[in-house]
Amino acid sequence: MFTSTMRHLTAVVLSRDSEVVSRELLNVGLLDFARIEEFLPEISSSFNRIPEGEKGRENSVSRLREDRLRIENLASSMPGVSLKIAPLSLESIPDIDIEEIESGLNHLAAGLQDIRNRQQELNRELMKLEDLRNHLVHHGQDSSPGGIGKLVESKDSFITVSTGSIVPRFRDQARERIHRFPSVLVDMPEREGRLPLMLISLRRDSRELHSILQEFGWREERLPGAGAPEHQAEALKELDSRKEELRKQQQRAAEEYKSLLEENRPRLQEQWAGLAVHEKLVQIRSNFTHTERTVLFTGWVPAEKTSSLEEAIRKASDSRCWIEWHEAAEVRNTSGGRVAAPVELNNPGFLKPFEMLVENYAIPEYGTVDPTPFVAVAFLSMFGLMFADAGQGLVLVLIGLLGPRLIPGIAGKMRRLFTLIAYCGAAAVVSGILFGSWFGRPWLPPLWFNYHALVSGHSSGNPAVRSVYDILFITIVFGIAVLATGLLLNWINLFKKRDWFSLGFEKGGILGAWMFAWGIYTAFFFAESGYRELPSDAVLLTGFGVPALLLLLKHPIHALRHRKDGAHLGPGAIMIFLMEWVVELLEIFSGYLANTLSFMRVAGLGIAHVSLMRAFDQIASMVSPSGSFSLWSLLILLTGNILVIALEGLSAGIQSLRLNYYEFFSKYFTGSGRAYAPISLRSSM
Amino acid sequence: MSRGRLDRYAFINAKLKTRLSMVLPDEFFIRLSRAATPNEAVQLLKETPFASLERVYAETGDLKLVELELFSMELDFFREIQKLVDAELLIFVNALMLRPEIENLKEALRLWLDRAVRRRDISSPLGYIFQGSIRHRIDIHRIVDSADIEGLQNALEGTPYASLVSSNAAEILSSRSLFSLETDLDRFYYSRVREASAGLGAEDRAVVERILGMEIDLENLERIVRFRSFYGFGADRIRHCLIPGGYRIDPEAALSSLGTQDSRDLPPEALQGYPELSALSSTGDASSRLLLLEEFLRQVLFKEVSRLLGGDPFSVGIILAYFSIRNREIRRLSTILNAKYYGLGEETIGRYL
Repeated sequence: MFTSTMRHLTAVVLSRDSEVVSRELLNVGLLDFARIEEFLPEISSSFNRIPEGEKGRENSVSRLREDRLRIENLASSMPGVSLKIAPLSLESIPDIDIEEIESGLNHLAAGLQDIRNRQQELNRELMKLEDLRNHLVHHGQDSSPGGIGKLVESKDSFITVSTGSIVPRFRDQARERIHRFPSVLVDMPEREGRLPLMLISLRRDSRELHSILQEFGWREERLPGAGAPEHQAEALKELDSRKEELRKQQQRAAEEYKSLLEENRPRLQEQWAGLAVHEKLVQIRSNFTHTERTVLFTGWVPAEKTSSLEEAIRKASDSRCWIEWHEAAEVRNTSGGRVAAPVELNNPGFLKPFEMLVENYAIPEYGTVDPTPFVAVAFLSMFGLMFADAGQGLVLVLIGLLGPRLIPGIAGKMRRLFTLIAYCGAAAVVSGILFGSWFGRPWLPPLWFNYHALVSGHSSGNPAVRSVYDILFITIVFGIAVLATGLLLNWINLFKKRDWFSLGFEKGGILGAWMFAWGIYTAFFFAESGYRELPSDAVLLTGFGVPALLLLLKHPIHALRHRKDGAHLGPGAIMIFLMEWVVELLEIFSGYLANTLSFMRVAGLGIAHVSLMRAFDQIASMVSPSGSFSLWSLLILLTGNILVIALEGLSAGIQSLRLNYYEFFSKYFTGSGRAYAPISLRSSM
Repeated sequence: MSRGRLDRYAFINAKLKTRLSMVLPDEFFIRLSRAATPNEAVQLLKETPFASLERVYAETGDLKLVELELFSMELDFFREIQKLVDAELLIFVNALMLRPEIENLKEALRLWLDRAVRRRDISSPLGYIFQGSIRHRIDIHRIVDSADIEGLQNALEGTPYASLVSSNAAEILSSRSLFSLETDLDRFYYSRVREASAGLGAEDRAVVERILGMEIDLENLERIVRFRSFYGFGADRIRHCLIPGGYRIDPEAALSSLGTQDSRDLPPEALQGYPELSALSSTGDASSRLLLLEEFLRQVLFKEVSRLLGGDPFSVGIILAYFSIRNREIRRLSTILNAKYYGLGEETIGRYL
């Protein structure tokens, strides 16, 4: 019922055993390290954080982390690959050589970058060909009237066409050299032992191209028929074919990139695991404090795990150690203040989704009630009352169960969210059975009352629930129960802390609850009298007057208690006390009233849910006046159910969360804790 | 506050503030600047809203195409706002959208100048310039391929830029530079935005005047420092480069302190309006002075924009703040990726962020 009891460990081992001890501490993964400076600041200056022999060592946490993140980054381009192929384990991890790892990573990164650079070159070639093609496709037409020659003559053109001939045996070499520039070389039939060519290129490249052609015996000649429209079409065809070839080369480069990563995958996985483990080891050692020959460390462990941790330390150090345990209440710093123990919420697995809801709000204070089981009951009850439909609840259960299986990559908090959805679905199924609602229709009789009939103005089938006001009444009673539970939990917490002053005088204390209880009684009395009569003066005086008068003492007592801290009772103090008293009373009255009435939203949303389903039902019956289900009516009902599941489901979830966080938690939850976070092989990086 | 402003800005305010929560944090940029290679840097973008940049790089290996994709994403920010605003605000947002159009046009004009006027080989293919429509239908191919200034004017026919080209034609040909045209384009942008803000309420107009005015101040300051410290221009020559309509800086007062002769001296009075800058007039060499000035100016504008975010949520300030912060994010990304391409280290990159 409470947060896990923690015990504080202080241990001293010999320096020569510190390596083995740190590995064992990581292996058991139980110790939430604390800093010696927190407890003994005046002597901590006598110790060193880093042992003499290790100063200047390069394996700092940040360096290990950077390399690990670098591997994760590289691995992210390998879809479906997980670096964590097996749980981390000390046995399978050798010592790492960080220089070698970094050298390997640099080598791999350089190889990958080379491939990207090649892709870039190919892309630029592609764009140059596109540039030439655009010029050839003058103003969007594939063949200019008059052919290429006409195009060249155009003032806006940046194309140049050269005609001539080369020695035929140099054809392939010339083509290969010329094609390094955006250009097209059109062959014509050989004659007189020469190969006539038409070269189409960009004006800017013409000088270089001509000097290349000279090497192959280029002789400039006029060629009859050169520049005809069919030559333009041929040129475009060649350009398209070369572009296609470049695209294929780019694709091959992309495949090469993937292959290079794939080849290195096993090594990267192994290195990642090694870095992860060593990062945690270095983190552990960074919490050690050193003298010349010993190492000291402190931390917190759950009480039921102290013996296994002690055994592990003794085994690792061959019993050459000193171990001290203290209860959390005994641990104080030198100014006498308590040092807060970390908080572990230790709930069974099926309550983990609700633990997530609690931790989202805040970590409870150490030693207080663990709100998780209460949140589970309250949250599901609220959701069920707002989303009371068994059929729709089943859909939510299915979504919750199948979601993690069907959607890849669901883990951790997301997985718990799906579990929560399944639980909400189950709550909706239960309430749907109670109120006789199955996909908005009363296919089976209700076990409690017929919600749909009641909202429609008919009999609910239960004489105790006759109108919508009765539903409001039910939710108000539910709200009072939730608030009362919150108050009770608050008293338990305050009792444990021996904080008698708060127990008596706080808004959630006994006096506040006294007025709340009397307020409930008064309200019911008033309602039952037909809103005509209040309880007698004596009753009102007992219920409100007495606690109000007692509350008047709160601030004077508080001031007197803190007088030695500098607070003093001056002449204006009485006015201040009176003002604070009035404000406090107003806060108590308005706060409790607002908190109670807030639960009416549960009824409101439940009624809205029913009303929406009735509306879709009516639309469906309008398209099928005969009463039987037609295709259209089924479609309407299906759409309506989907919309309601989505919108009302979200709305009910959010409102349940709000009621828990604001109305319920505000009565007792003090979120000043910090989570228990041991360094272990299982903890996240 | 009038119901009109509430109706106009309530949804946009909520939407943009949600979008702003997704802006990449400073820690991410530090990590990006530490990446060993451009490939690793781009890889880091995979799990961010800029994942499409990683896809482009994986397909082409070309960082310039990644920058082009970044430019497209910047346009998407504008289009996203266009869908959310009413008719009067749309006029204003459309005016703001002229800035990326003008920047893109400047790139195309520079290519044209290299090809048609300077007769240089162009190493940057046309594929790195955004080809789509932004605010006007501009055929980038036609611009770059224009054989002369008349061709260029024809290519820009139907847009407000044709007349600017005509009025600067002689200067372009004589100086073989686009500087006067680019200054006119900047002036055109600011005047259009001012005109477009006329349809907004008085409070919104005041916000626009302040932010626009500060941007103009910063542009003018940069020009004063650059042309004085680097080129030694006198007041008359610098006057033609300045943009009217600043917030704190009176260009004439700044110029009058420079004197009529060409010189590299930069008296503190030239930087009046921003007293924090007066020390810059005597700091270091011209390059470091300009670098410091640019960094300071960015901080000043960013501080003003941050004030807008914390101020009245139902004003045009949220839109201006959104664009400014997004623009800063894109500029930082672009700076780091370019720096990685040129092999610059983390420390050097940090100076430019």
